Amino acid sequence: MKELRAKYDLTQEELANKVGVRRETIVFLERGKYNPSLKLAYDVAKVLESKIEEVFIFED
Amino acid sequence: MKFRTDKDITKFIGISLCAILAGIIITLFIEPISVFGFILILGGLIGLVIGLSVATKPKCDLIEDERSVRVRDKAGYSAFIAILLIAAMIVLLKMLKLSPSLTPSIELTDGVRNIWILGVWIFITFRWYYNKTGE
Repeated sequence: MKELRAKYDLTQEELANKVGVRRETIVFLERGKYNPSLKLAYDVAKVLESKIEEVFIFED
Repeated sequence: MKFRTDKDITKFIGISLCAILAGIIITLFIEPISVFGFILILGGLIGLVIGLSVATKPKCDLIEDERSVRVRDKAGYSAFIAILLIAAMIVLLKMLKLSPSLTPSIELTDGVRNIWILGVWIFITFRWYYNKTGE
């Protein structure tokens, strides 16, 4: 996610504003310490013009 | 040092100053040694220090997002479970009557027992409701 965000030259704050969450939520998402809802995962993937599975790594 | 002068901070500092002023008026003109006046002055001073400290930092509007809601929900749930456990422990100590120092008073035990019973029923009801509505 961090690499994709850098690719689009977005700051954490800008990405947070685009998906309507706090910057801290983006920080936790990038650290892998927060499991987003399907809606948030979809919104982030949409902003980063990628598929959800490209942005987030699902672990069983 | 630059201070913020937006509505929220000026209102907070204004209330703190009014509390200090009211405390001084009470102490000087109404009751010389007044606990209420002292509390107002002390509360006002603490409020003033906090207000000035916050005023030096940039304003940030904390929006409520899904993580903050989830955290709040989890915190509420944990606090509720903690209250139930503490209440259960107090009731248990009363039942066991280990020693006078460890045995809570009758009034405390009765109050806590009622909270514990009510809490368990509220918890069961909410769990049933959220389970049914799919929350």
